[in-house]
Amino acid sequence: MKHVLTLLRPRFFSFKNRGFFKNDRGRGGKFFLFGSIGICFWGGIFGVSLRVLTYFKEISELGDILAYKLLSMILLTFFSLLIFSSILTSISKLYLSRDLSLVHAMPVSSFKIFIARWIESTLDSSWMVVVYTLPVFISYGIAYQAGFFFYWDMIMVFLSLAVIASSTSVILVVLIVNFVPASRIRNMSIFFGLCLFLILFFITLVFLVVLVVFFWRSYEFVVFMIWLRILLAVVYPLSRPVIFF
Amino acid sequence: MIELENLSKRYGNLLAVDHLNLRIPKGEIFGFIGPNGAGKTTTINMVGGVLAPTSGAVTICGKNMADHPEHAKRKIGFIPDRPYLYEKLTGMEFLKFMADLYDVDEDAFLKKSKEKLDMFFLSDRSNELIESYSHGMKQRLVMAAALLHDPEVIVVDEPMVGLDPLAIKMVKDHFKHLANEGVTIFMSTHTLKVAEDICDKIGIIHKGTLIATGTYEDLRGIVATEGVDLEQIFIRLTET
Repeated sequence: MKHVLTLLRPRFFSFKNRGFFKNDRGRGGKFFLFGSIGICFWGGIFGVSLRVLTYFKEISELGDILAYKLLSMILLTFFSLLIFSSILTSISKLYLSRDLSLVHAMPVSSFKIFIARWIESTLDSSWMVVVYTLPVFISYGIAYQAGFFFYWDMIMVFLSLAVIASSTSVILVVLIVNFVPASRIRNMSIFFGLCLFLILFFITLVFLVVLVVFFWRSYEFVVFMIWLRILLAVVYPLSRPVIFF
Repeated sequence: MIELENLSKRYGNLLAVDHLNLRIPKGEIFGFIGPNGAGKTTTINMVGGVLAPTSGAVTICGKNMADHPEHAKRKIGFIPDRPYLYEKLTGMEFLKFMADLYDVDEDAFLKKSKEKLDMFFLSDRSNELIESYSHGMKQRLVMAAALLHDPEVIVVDEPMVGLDPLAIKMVKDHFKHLANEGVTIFMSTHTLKVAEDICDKIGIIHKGTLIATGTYEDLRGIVATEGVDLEQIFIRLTET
């Protein structure tokens, strides 16, 4: 474990020294500018999420379903982003990093180097996704007046998802790199990631247009609502479903 | 002591190193010279444990690199030609990082780091970020780091690149001093004058094959000409 921590040390020292050695002119300005953009973006996500969830809560019956579906979509998107980000980071950390020749010349086992790289990759790939998904989950907590354990569970779920995504990505990368060079995998991942994003974006757009234009307040919508109520009705074992219209 | 037994490295269809056999005894400085792309750096990387050979074995002081990589690497001070340094670390932090990976204890580190920093003229800049160092300073820092744990073997690729004449003289003197103390030095270089000055034996590699090896006098005997310098020997052997 000592060697794993030592291998992680340059990263933390670099981070510390960026603040300590202020020899870069205009660094404060850049930090302020990008920090402000980041905070505004975070606040924007929080504001929009809270507004949407509060609105959903006001819609009887359908509101909770929409909030639930939205949560499923967010979790799926969150996990997909983590996987995508982890693939890119783990390729760089395990195969393309410039300090690999230095650490492989050291008397440290390849396993320890791998573990140190995996920890670094997990942190690097997940921190931003977690930070910008937090406001959505905090909005859920506020909108549904959740208790302390919701926030505790939220942190644990984020941690677990980050570790699962990172582990899955590393396994994938280690397998694929046997057939395709690492630098090509990175370029391919970026290309396919962009394509996937565009496809998902247009599918969502088309879905929303169809929902709003053709479905909302139509006869089919009423039928759809009844069908949903049947689905959500509590059915006990050995009982027959009874439907009231 | 370094032993290379039938060492080969293949990249696809290219055979970069072809069944290399070498035995460098304790306390010897062995110079490894050859044209660009001859396989010098590939060999150095295999000896340093950075690259795995396609076939053959590397043994460092009796420890097989494939079977006991950590034990073998612990005996080596590895100085690559284009070393990577963490630019946002200070010189002292980098030395501490290296010392910890070689399990150098705190007291020994304090003593050795001061000694090496003084030797490589880096004492007054040791608490500055490496990104502010010149190329020569970075090269000297890598050498200081490689010598911190008192290695029994030094594997060095192009040691004099980027060094000023004063530093070159200091490095040459220090290598001779280390060899006298029993340290084995395996050095790849393009600077034939350096090889001529300090190496006990010289090996010439060409297209992955060791075409000649021996003392300066032995090599002169191979080309069968009196009074030629190492540059002329090198050109005659590698131009075919």
